[in-house]
Amino acid sequence: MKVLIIVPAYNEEKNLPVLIPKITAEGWDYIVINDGSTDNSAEMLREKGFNHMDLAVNAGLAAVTKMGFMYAHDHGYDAALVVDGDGQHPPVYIKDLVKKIEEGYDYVVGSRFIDRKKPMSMRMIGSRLICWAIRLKTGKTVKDPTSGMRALGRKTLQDFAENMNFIAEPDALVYVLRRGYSFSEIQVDMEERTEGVSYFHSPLKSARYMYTILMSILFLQW
Amino acid sequence: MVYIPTALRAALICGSLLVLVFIVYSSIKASMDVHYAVLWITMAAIILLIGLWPELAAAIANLIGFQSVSNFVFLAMTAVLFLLSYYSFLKISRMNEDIRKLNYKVASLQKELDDAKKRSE
Repeated sequence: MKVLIIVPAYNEEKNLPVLIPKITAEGWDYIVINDGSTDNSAEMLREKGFNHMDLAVNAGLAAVTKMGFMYAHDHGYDAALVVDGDGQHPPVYIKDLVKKIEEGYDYVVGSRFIDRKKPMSMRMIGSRLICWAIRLKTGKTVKDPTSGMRALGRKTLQDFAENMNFIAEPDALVYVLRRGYSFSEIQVDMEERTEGVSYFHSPLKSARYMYTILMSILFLQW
Repeated sequence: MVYIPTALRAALICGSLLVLVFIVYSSIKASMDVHYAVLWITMAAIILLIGLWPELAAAIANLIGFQSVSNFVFLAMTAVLFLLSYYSFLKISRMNEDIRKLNYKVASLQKELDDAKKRSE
């Protein structure tokens, strides 16, 4: 099975040189999509000879992942897997997700909370709210709806490359569940980011994200 | 408290409900960008809220000191539309800038390609 690892990256010049060798050490094909970074990511990627694409204009995480799916689909890959450029998704788990895809699942999520308990932080209260909205909409229970580490099989890859209109992982998940694709979650342990800043560092942005994602789940994904 | 005739109340509720349904339906159908769709659904939901509960608008109008509720509703709607239109202009100018960048990028890639072809000939 031909698998492509998609690595979306925005200002990750310090994290990528650590992450990419870990991915190649496991023998996977990968592509870094540099989302118009303002640091020296572009030069670094060229110098180190990492397989990458530089976007001329910053497009945002959702658009970048979609481009990754389009690329994988165009280049005849059977499956694609997203690993964030910030290094929080350890590449050692890639093979576990791919194994599930090989078993025939269409969409596999690397979940932090299968064997571990979900902590009581602000962010995880948000995660609980999203879980509740997903259960309300689809009747299915999801443990870690905001996990960005996910693998797509051939069918979902094509669908996402053609019609994706989501803002993030949770509403993508609702789309997958509503379309009747087979879905599985497996335990992964994620790492805290070591360098750079996350997309969610201000409370206002987080509140806006929560509102938009809940509206998208409840009204826009059918 | 303001008195609202039953027929008017029914018309308000039906009208605002139709707006909400129309916006949700057509946003999905045209696969409108989720961020914009959510903005418009929120607007439609506020209109529905006023339709279901016109006393709310009346109470706010009274509180601020408007002589008539309709004046308040008109002013509020105008303000919202004004802001939305400003926001669209903001987005348009951002997009124009992005298009300029992309245009330049495509042109310079084409030039690089042409130059490389020339060299190899």
